[in-house]
Amino acid sequence: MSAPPGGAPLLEAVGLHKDFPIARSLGEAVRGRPVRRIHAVDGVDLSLGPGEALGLIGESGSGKTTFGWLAARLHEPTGGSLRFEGREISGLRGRALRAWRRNVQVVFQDPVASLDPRLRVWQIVSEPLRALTKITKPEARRRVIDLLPTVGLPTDCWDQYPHEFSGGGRQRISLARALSIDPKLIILDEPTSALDVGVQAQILNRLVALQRERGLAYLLITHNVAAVRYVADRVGVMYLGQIVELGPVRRVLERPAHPYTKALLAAVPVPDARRRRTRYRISGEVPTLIDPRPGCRFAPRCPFVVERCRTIDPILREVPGLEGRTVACHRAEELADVPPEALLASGEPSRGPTGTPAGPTS
Amino acid sequence: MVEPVLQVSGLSVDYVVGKGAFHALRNVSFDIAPGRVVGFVGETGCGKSTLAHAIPRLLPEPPARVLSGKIVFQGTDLRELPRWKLPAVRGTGIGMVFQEPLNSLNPAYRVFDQVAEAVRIRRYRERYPAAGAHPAGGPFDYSKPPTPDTAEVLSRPVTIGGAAGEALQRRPPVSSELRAEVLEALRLVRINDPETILRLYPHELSGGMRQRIMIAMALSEKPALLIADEPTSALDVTIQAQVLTLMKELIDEVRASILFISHDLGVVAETADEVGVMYAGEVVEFGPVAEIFHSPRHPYTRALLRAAPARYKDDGDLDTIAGSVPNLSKLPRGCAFHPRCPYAAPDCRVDPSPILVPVGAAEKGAGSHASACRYAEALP
Amino acid sequence: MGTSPTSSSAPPATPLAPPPPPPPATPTAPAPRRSQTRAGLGTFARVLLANRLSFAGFVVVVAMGTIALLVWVDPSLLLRFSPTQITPDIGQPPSWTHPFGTDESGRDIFSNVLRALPLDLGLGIGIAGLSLIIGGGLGLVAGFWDRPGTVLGVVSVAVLRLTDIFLSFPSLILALAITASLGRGVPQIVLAIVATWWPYYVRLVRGEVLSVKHQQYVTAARAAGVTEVRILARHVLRNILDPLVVYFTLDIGTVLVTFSTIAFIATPLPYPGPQPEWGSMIQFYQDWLAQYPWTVLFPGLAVFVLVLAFSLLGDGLRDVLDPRSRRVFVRDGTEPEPPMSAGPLSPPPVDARGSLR
Ligand SMILES: Nc1ncnc2c1ncn2[C@@H]1O[C@H](COP(=O)(O)OP(=O)(O)OP(=O)(O)O)[C@@H](O)[C@H]1O
Ligand SMILES: Nc1ncnc2c1ncn2[C@@H]1O[C@H](COP(=O)(O)OP(=O)(O)OP(=O)(O)O)[C@@H](O)[C@H]1O
Ligand code: SF4
Ligand code: SF4
Ligand SMILES: [Mg+2]
Ligand SMILES: [Mg+2]
Repeated sequence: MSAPPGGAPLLEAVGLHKDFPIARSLGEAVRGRPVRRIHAVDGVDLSLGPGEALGLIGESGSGKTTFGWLAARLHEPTGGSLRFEGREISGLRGRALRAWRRNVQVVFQDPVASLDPRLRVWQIVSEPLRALTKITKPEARRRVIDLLPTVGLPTDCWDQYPHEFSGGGRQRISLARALSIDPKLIILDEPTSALDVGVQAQILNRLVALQRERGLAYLLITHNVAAVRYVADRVGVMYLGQIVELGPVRRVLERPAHPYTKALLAAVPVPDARRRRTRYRISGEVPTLIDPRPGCRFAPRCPFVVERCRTIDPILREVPGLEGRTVACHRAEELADVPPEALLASGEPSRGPTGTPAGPTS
Repeated sequence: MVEPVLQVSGLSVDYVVGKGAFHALRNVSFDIAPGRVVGFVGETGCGKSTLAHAIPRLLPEPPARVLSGKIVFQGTDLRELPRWKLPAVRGTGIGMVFQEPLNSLNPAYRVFDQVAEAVRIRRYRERYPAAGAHPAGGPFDYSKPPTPDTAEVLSRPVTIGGAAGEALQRRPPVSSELRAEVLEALRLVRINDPETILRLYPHELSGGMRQRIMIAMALSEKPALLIADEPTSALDVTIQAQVLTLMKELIDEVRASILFISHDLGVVAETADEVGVMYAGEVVEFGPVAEIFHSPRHPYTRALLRAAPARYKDDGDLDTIAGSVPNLSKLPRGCAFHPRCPYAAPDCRVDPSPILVPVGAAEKGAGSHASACRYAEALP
Repeated sequence: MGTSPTSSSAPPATPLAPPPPPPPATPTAPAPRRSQTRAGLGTFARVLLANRLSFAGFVVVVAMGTIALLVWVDPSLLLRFSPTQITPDIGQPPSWTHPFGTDESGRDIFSNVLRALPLDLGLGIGIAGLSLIIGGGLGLVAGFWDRPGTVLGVVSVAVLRLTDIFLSFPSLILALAITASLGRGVPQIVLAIVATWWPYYVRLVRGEVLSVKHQQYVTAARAAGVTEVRILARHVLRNILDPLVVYFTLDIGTVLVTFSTIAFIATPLPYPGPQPEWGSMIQFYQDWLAQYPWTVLFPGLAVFVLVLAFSLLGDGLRDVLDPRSRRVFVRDGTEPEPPMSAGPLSPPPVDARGSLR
């Protein structure tokens, strides 16, 4: 697996697994059907160095948020190990868990839903401080007022309510809350997807500046390739609960090796009305997280699929010629030089079981 | 000339808060022809969601107040309908995808119940095509249904009420046919394991799944007008592309129209036929997508187009649009954009503010290109 | 057209112009200011006043409350006659001396109706309150700690099943049945109503808790290290309080009607007697309905007015408490960020801060 450049990892997941049992209906329970499970995160190996920004992109529903929540210990892993600074944290509970929480903080996607509408800014921002340290109210308030400028908020807004802010302002409050306890790692779950491009750029600029100033590590989960490009040092690509490609951001985005990464990049919309409808559209069967078939998970939709893909699981491995990178594809070597745009050109529409034509629609 | 599905003219909306008023929409006018997609773009807080809510009259009033304007949908002015008839219009003609997927699904119901409701609405309409036939509806706002005030209840025709009526409405028999249709709706939006997902509650879904459920609900109603407020912001680009294709298919199938709101200029460029650019509650430029993206005739549109981030952090900071959105309760005189406009001339600062006037080669073709800049023609 | 912008006094920056240095951020003086957007008394008054009906409800409830208090403290302050006192005016229609008229033996209806007010109002609030405490408490537990496989999870399933069983009976009939088996006193009726009433609160509170506990701010609090009990108190309880208050207000009216109905059938307090009660009064006077209609009309009207007042007040409260009706957006709560790399557009930042308040 690809270690972060330099030093011991801050966060290290080995074979991390999380499944959610699906409640059976009464009929099924009576008939004694076994409980089925959604394998949201299915054996993820990943590590993150101190001060490093790791981007995580991938299909919707592929377990990115679940991984983030595992890393913040908001979910309990059902398998594998999760180490923070070398210490196993998957078994932490109660007081020990709360004490550990000062290391990792989370910024959530939805700027409206993630702030309690009934609390004032300073109460929200100081929540981790007051939960984890013995700090008096006035002291907490002072710390908050000192903190606000670092996220680009005016100091005198400490007494306002979240609904008085715009989407960007609320996301700054969220960020201030995460920063208040001086964590080592911040998990950012789609921090900018609700924001317009201008505000997005402001927040991303702040994030990068903060990383430089404070040596923070980020786990940036997002669909926004532009955000990953700008913030991340390395990027991981997830598909159906697994990492399929991991490597330095420039190399992965400029020369993707895994077919899914290629498909993803070929599907990025371009703000150019003349190149309208030239996005790649993945076709084929919609995959399942419940009882994944053996073989490569992308096989039913992969334009480069060969016979062995359907039977043998590709492992995440280093690929000769792609230094610093790991890819889970049998044909990574051969395909490394196929640019994403080639997917658009090779538009002989193969039909998936659901009957949607592949390739660019014209 | 085809009759437009929706004609909005001179729509102005204020939010009245305390002593002040935010002018969230100012004199907005546009048409949507059948089978067309009209995209709206603009910075946060420029009134896009307000517009989306104002059309089906879902704005919370108060604090919102519709000051003037007409919203003519399929020949009826929605502003003149009595309130109790609105659910029928919403249920039969206008579909909505809301901006916040987590808040717009009811946390207490499983996915199945929520999608089935949408399917039922369509069936009901197909069976009783007369507008206004939907019973005690309001099925659209899956966030808590707005509770009517006493006066409104008194003016409403009597339907079966009480526990019995509620039970009748909540739990109609689940036919296997309905189930099949719900499953199909979920498959269309590419949900994995639809059979399982049906049984989950909204909080158990991923962000993108929630958004797709909302889209599935809106699409399975087959509305004549689909209002989609940031429908794809939580989707990865591959699924986003599929969902957009799906919306286009809806257009072909029932000649629906779409009002599409997005921050993502790429998505708008790809989806929309016409684009409206909004600034501080006004439409400052409106025109065919190709012209907006290739020969924008408003300085704000140009700034917006340049702000798309595409850069690694070693290459320097991202560009932002300088300055900030004006306070909607204290708009600058004259052109609202003048404090940020590099081309501002002295007469941009005096009232009245410029209005949309046709520019460029507006004569040829169906779509007309209009800009609210005094110097639209003279821009370099 | 007028002057071309290129020749105007403000020469436009061309896209290729080198970015000017970003202007320094001006620190703002930390002038603490109180945000005035909470649903304070001002908002309360404003919204209530805006809706005349709910304002009327509010006035009636306050007036009735005051009267009830006065009557309870010292009946002679307001009432000229004692409830059982026989006056020489027999079967009189309403007049100045007897505003609600008198009955067949000359008892003053006004005194009786007002004497009943503290009892009926108190019972309405008390029964609804007791149900709120019992049902709400159970609903809180059932909603918040519902993870299967834990002790509290099992408890919550049990509570829910029990609730369903209770809810499947028609509550009035169940309450009547309980009264019938317990006997006719006021405490028995209170018990009977509470026993059938709490399940609604379980449902309500559990539903609200469920919708709040999956909100991201609850998860955010958990990630911040806040303990579960504190999350419950600080985030969950506070956010479900509003709908509870509204429901409770509306519910008082329903309880009043139910109590009067059962009292009408079970007559827990003998009438005429020292402590009148509206249900029993109506029961007693129903035979005189044709002859002296006011004897039935006024106790009935008392119930009606109270119920209506509470439901109007509830409607008004919903408007006050609903965050949608007091949401204030100050879009520029954020500092206008100094242009990071000033693009071609680099005018002075606009209109820095809100002037709303
Ligand atoms: N609490 C839960 N109970 C049951 N299933 C869950 C739960 N949380 C997540 N899942 C399932 O796990 C899978 C992965 O979800 P997750 O939220 O991690 O995806 P994601 O990669 O973040 O997707 P998106 O990009 O759409 O946000 C989904 O199939 C989802 O239904
Ligand atoms: N309930 C409300 N009360 C007061 N003001 C409001 C309310 N809702 C919106 N506004 C104001 O109206 C303006 C327009 O808001 P709207 O939500 O329509 O913006 P938007 O363009 O959809 O923004 P975004 O891109 O962030 O979704 C904003 O300035 C906002 O402050
Ligand atoms: S292993 Fe085979 S199916 Fe899987 S991505 Fe590689 S080529 Fe495609
Ligand atoms: S009218 Fe003047 S200030 Fe407004 S956009 Fe045009 S040039 Fe700029
Ligand atoms: Mg997610
Ligand atoms: Mg919006």
